[in-house]
Amino acid sequence: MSETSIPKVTVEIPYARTLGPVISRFLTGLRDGELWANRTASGRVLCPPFEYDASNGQAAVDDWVQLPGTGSVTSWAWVAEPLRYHLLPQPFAWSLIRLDGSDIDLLHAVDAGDRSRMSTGMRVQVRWRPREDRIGHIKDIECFEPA
Amino acid sequence: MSDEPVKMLHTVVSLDYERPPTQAARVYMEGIRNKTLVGHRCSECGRTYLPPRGYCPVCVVPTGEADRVEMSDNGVVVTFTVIRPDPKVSKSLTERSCRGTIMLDGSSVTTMGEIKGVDPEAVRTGMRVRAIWADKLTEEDTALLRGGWGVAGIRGWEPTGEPDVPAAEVQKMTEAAQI
Repeated sequence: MSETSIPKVTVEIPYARTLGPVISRFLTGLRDGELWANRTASGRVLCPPFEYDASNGQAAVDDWVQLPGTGSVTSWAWVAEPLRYHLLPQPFAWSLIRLDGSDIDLLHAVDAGDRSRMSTGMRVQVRWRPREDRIGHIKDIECFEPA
Repeated sequence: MSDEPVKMLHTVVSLDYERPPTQAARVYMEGIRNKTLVGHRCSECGRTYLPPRGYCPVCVVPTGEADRVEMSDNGVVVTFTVIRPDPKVSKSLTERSCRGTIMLDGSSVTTMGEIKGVDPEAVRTGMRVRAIWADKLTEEDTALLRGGWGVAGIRGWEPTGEPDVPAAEVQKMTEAAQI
């Protein structure tokens, strides 16, 4: 290593957590290629599901709805140079996606190929990873793509 | 591929750091190559820093070449923890070990490292220890040093066999370092 080079240090932390009943159900659904949302006492539908209603603090009721996997982009940011652990190796858009049937937004990647194809309000649909690669993780959704 | 409900999330948090070495880090690294510990002493409060940071965070003044001090590689165990790996959790760590903070002689800051050459259960506050120097710096040591990270090049600390420093004195040493 020459005296003028800039050192690179990588700090890696393996991280494991138990999921609890709500997130467990959501991720089990992803593994099985299904998108599930849960309902709160006031009737709001949450995808991603939460254990509580963030608008009033009430516990969510144990009531589940399956969503079709289509939705609209409510906000987005273009990533021109993806990093090592990003979801996609090619440029993509981090997007907030209002899934059809949900009252909140899900954060995920949209693979639009080019920034010019991105727009707020655009219609997108889920792209699943192959069944054998799905493990019950948010990355079981490879990304969303223009519908 | 199981059909059981998913109960756990496993992921890896990974951060890449790239930092040009500071003047202070270069001085420190050069010292390590020669098996010496080079720190900075603040001209205002007299606190010593290892590795040198290029400033005293207490007095908020810069430190530099004029403040360079060579530190002892002997010190006193101030506090320690015994690590007893749980085989249910850890596959790679199986042996008990001990990590401690060591206040170097004549210094006011502690450095951290593994305490070796003694049964972990027998380590105690006030124990006199000395550095175990690496015979050869690895690529990883060099990268860490260039980034100014910790005490790469020292493989741990071992008892010198000298009598312990009394607890009251250790407490005085640590109090002197307080802000």
